[in-house]
Amino acid sequence: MDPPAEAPTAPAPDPVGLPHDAHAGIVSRLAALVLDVVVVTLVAAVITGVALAGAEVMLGRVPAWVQVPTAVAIGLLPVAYFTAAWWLVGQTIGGVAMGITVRDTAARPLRFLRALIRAAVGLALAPIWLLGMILILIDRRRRSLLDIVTGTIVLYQRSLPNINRDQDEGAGAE
Amino acid sequence: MEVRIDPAPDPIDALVPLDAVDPEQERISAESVLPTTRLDALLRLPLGLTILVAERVRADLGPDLRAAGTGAAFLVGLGDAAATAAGRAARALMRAGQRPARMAAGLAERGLKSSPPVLARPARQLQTVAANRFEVTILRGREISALARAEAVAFLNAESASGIAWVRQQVLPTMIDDLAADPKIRELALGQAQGAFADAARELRQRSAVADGWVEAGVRRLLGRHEPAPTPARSQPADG
Repeated sequence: MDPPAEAPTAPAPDPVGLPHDAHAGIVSRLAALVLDVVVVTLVAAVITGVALAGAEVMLGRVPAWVQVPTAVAIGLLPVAYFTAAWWLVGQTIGGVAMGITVRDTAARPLRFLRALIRAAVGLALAPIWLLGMILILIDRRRRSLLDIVTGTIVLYQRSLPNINRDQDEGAGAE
Repeated sequence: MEVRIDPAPDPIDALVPLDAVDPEQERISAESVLPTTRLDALLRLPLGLTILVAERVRADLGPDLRAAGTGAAFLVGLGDAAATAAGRAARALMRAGQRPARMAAGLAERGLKSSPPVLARPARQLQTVAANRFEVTILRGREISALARAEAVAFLNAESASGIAWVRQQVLPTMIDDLAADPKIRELALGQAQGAFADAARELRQRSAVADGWVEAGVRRLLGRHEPAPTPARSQPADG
């Protein structure tokens, strides 16, 4: 189920006949997620510390016009982080470390809206995101519930060169 | 004069290698035998260094050459004896100048009157004295060699310690600064760190990928499911 703005007109073909083990498994994905949580937590702590401590030092107190933007920034930080990472490079920092990347079902890089929806839905329903990862263990393409809902797959980075080569050959044949 | 030869091994051959000597013990032993004058020490230092070099060469060449220790000790003792006896002999020559003449006269007179066995006795005495002199010279050479060697080891230890300290204080900081400021070295170190990080990341990815397969296979066995379906054809529609 893809978001309406980017819903494909026809079911996407399995891109280049990807083997089962080209898709990232649950251990790699959970490890990447843990790393991302650590990164986001650290960045949030830095932002909070700089903003609040700076206000405390310079103003002697923390006014509301500092607290509110800081809280908003902290709240939006995870969505912004995951969206930007998936949209721009297809990988979060945890994904880079674990060598996995997020693509759409045709193994193409995510567009902005799909990346935003994936991040927003996943973070808004974080427990379901985690529970839905059990599906990775039984799905043929190792997709979690979030992947199925947002029309994405998660691949090992090492399998990308084959995909790109096959896509190039397919485009040349056309 | 009878000299007793100590059955102990050749002092030169029995000396331990330089790297096996306890520096503190070597320093104490060298201090305890230090000569009274600097000139003696300066003269003995080249000898000790030569002995150390000879030991090293002999150790490298093999055990067959160790027998040369006696000859070397004799030469050392002979040289020292000649040097020290030269002054003494010069003085004694003046006093003893008259004795040979008297002895020669007495011997000639006695030889003319006595039988052949009586003539052979001074010859045997002369032979014994010569042998004793030879042994004394060897012992003296060995003592001097051991002393010179101990002094040379102490000298080398002291010089190497001060040299290392000088290198540590003067050379190493400058070298480290130069190396740290060298763009090539920095690039090399950065590449090394990046390579190590990349290796660790690659290892982590491989292990996690293997763990992915294990977990999945375990769940599949629990659920009684088969291996995943074969790779779908390119034209097949996606499943969801």
